[in-house]
Amino acid sequence: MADEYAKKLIIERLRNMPPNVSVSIGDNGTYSRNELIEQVRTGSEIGLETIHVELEFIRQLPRLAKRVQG
Amino acid sequence: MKTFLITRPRHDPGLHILHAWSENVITEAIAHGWNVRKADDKHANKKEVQSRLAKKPDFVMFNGHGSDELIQGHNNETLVNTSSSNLLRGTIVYARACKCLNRLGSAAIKNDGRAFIGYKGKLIVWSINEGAAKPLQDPAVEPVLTASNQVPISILKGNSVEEALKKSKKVAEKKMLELLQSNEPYSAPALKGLFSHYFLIDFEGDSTARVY
Repeated sequence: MADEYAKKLIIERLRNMPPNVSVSIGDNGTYSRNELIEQVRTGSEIGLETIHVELEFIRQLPRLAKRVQG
Repeated sequence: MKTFLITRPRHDPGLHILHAWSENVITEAIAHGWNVRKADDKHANKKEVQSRLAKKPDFVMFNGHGSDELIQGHNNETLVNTSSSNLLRGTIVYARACKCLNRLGSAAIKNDGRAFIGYKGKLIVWSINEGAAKPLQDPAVEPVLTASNQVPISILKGNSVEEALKKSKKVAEKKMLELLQSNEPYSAPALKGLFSHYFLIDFEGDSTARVY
């Protein structure tokens, strides 16, 4: 089960995305922003994977910014 | 003549994007004197693709869904898996498909594949809903697939596997820097897509492999 704080954090991050975007996650299909938020909220397999990917993105972002800015 | 085989299934929205963005790769291949063999749509099936792989193309690019052990084609039919990875013997592969570097890539190299470039996890592509009909003009898609396309285009131009990856990552870094500083509404989804390509792409096999 995903940590409730992580879940809320990722939902807020997704809510800050434009409403008219979708994401294709391999053969798991294509989800609109709101559908993905619902997947995270209900803790589905896609939702848990989204939380994992988003948390990894947050962890890597400072390193990424440092690297690309030289 | 150098032969390039490319698979382009298009039976779902994500694959539709990969199909469209592969057109530029095909144009580059023709411009650089390659003999291009396309396995588009229903032709991206096991029988046709395995028949073409048996003719030993120099470079193969798969677009499709994947898992640790396999790459799929039209209607998610398995085209190649670890058991049939000997079909990749002697070739350089770029698999634009999720996860298949993990076990399929290793199996291909054990069966004397030259190099296998692919992804260690799920390649995630964000897009704008209104852009579905024109994926080449979608600002959320453009950064990740421009960086991704740099891999096959570099190979087609005679660069090594290592050089192709470096060039792709350099393009990705330049675009990530732009996106990190941008206030455009679609910079966040574009950055997330680019992030998945940048951190998940890798290779197995000979880093110096190239096609002259």
